[in-house]
Amino acid sequence: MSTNLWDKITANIPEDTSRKVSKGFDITDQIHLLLKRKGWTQKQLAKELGKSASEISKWLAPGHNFTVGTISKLEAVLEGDILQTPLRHKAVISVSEKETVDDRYQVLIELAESFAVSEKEAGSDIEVRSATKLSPGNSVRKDTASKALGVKRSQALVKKGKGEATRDGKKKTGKNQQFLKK
Amino acid sequence: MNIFATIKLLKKASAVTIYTVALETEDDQEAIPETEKFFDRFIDSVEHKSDFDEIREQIRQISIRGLSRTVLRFENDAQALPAKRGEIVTRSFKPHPDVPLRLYCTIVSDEVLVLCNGGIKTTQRVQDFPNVSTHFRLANQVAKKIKERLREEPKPLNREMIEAALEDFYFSL
Repeated sequence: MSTNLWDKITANIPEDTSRKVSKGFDITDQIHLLLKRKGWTQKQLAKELGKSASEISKWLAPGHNFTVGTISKLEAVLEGDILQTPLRHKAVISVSEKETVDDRYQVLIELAESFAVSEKEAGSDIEVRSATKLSPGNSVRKDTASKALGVKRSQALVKKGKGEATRDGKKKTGKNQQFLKK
Repeated sequence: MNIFATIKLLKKASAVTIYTVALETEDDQEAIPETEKFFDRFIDSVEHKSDFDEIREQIRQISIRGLSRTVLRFENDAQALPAKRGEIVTRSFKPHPDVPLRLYCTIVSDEVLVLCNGGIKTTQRVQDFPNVSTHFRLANQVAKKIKERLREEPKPLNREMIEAALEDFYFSL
């Protein structure tokens, strides 16, 4: 139930203000959750960070503008994520939900296409950091790929270029579709 | 001379029921809610627009999220204790501790909030600034009267019981 006064109070709030305030609440909620998980008080958090309790209190007040540096420090001592971008979240969740190697590579391709980033950048989100360039003629090391994809080394495929990987190494339709079979 | 006040419903939202308080006028005209006076004073302010918008959004967010985890439950001064469960307290909405715009309120429970009035706080101690201290004092008086009212109710109190007690609650300040 709303009254006219409520509608007046909450009307025409700029989008950026809404997002700013909402994110601020999200961040402090997340910090409180992580504090609870660790069984810490705000005072303990202050001590871990070498800050005063009043400074931490200001951080957790509405309107505080966190820097990436401060968020990172908090994440490090609290041992958890406070902020996660949609790209990273989607990569982690999407890949972890897929069962086959084929599907997981397909997720990377889709992510790369949807966010207009290179396959390597999309792959780096699932820790294929030591991979060489994913371009025709090059390959991802099997042990790196197997670790990233959570499969046994024997199951890992080396993929070249865009397209679908197959276990039997057969060529699929489409451009740059050459696969190295284990 | 006594001033009389009425608690008026502003919004029954999913997480919180929000009220305001209206003071009786001498000429018997319909009392303007205190929160509406705050709104009318700052809606056209260029200087305080962004701070005012943030306070409005904070209120809107709390109507969705509730009060239990919000920092309103806690003082910015680390020496002060947070509001204990069941404690009725006076707090303020502010865009940031260093920003002087304040809207005072009474937190009745995690699900019931009474918005009062506010203004620009230009000194460290709210008591030193006459205009804002009037609103701060009103919020404290509202808190005190609601405490007295709810003492008459059986415990434990839930949201519905508090709402019933506050419906058109009329009292002298």
